[in-house]
Amino acid sequence: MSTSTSTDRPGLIEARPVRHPWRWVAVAVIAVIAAMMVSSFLTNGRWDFSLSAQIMIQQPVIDGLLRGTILGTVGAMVIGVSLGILMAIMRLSDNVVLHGVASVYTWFFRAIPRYVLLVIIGTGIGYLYNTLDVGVPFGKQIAGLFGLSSTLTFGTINVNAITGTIVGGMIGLGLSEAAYMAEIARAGILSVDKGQSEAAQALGMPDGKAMLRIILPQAMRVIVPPTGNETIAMVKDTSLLSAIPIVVELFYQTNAIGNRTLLVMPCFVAATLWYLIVCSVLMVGQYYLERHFGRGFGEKKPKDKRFARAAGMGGA
Amino acid sequence: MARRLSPAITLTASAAIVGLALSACGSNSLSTPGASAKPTVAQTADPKLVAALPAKIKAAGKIVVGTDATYAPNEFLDTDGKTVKGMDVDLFNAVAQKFGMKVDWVPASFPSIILGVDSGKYDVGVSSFTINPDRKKQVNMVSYFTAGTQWVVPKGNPKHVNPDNACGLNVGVQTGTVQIDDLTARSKKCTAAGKKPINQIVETLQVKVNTDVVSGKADAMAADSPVGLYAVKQTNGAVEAVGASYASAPYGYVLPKEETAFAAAIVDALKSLDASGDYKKILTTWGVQSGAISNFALNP
Repeated sequence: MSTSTSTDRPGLIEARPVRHPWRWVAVAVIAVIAAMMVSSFLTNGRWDFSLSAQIMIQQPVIDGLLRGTILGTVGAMVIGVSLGILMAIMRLSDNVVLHGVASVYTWFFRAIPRYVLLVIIGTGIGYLYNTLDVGVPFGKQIAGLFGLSSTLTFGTINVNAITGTIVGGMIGLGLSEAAYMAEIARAGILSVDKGQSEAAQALGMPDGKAMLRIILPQAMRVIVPPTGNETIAMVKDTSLLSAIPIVVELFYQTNAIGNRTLLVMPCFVAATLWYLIVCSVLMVGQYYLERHFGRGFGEKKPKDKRFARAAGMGGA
Repeated sequence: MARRLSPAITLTASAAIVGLALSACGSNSLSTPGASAKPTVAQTADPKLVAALPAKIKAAGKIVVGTDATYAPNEFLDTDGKTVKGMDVDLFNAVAQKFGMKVDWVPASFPSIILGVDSGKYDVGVSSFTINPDRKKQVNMVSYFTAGTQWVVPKGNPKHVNPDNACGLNVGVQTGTVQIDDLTARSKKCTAAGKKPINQIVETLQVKVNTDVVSGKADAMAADSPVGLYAVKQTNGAVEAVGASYASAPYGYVLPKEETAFAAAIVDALKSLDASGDYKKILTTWGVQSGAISNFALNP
């Protein structure tokens, strides 16, 4: 009996990893392409990376980066997020007027390209309205009708003085961004279980307080990741400000150097490198922000060893 | 929780520090091309001209000028990224001094300038505007310079481009320029003679047109003579001029239709600059004295 069991036991499995010859082929092809790219960078004098580096640290370019790209992004996102959340709340309101206004706003600004919007702000608005009078609608006509000396105007905004500055750019990009943020915020608010607002109501909380204290904090988990994406997209969209044009802006300034020296490509490379740097920094920031607001939800599984291994190296 | 957030805070802080460091170490070292000698021909205000100033400008103490500062050497941004300089700038600054006014140069996109003058955003448009009937219908124009069309080709003229027989070639040109009409007319002549039409490569900026010629995307380009010759000078011989400049057309200052008295006063200011020799001096600084005129006029 004892001998039979030893002979019945199966022998050692001679397992061999599955071969992946095509992975090696792919790696070889990629290596050749990479080598070709590196060689073109080094041998094609027209790249002129040292000039690109020099352009990157020109004072006007750095001013454009700080005051146009970064400050413009911050300003546009502040306008976009606050107006967007307001629009989302209005859109979820039972009031027909509020709901309608928010719907029309979102529809309009999602449908109009940012470039077109900025060109209109830069040129068209000032043409239509040199100055904005803030006052009673038809105030001048009403005053004329009753023979009043006042025109029922409280203040005047000089439109042309604003549209050419970064503030005009922030307003344009912010208005457009608000439409997208409204949809993101609406999705976030709807993602919070209805039981939460019902519980708040049961405790006697007014709707506004429930929104601020109960709903919005929980909606943040859904709102924050796409907002980070929107911020990174906004950094890139500030380059559209050259449509107005806004002079203190990274892409306008690198182009200005290109126009003066006629060395266009190194200027494009300089702008590209700055955008890469700024966006990379933001992506790292977004990682930590998401980890903060997403805690308790969808924790990452422990890393799977298979995916950690480099592809093609020995196979799996 | 505070510990969790700290990377974000560190990030913000380090970004701020990097920003500060950058704004401190930025340089202005990139060489400035074009004329370096600033013409310091200061003008004295002429009381007769000052009287012709519109009330709005007189009250503001300055003339607001819209310009597309992407058109070297006529108007472009200096190395500081703010100051607009060029032939147009020096000449109109001298004109403004005759009125006892300073000039506020505002960079704008070229197609928006006439609209801006119409809406009162700018008092005057100074941006190498060629005077043509369409523009004269919309605004007042004061002639001050004349530019021809210059063809520019890659070094050695590999395609043997001849401006008078450019049929079937790719020719770079900037949008909204007088050269577009010129090329369209030349192309029509080609097709009428049974040859291939001229293929226009239209770019928004003149510098892109230059790049197209260097890269070979365009076989040649047609541009205002000062701009074409600047490209030849600035690219260290990567491109060269071919043929003589032709079809001279006057440049004009753009003023609103209702400012006829002011426009007429600008004509007088130009005439007195010409009489003192300062007009020629300014053009010579920028190497464009061949475009000098003496018959300054309103809506010629």
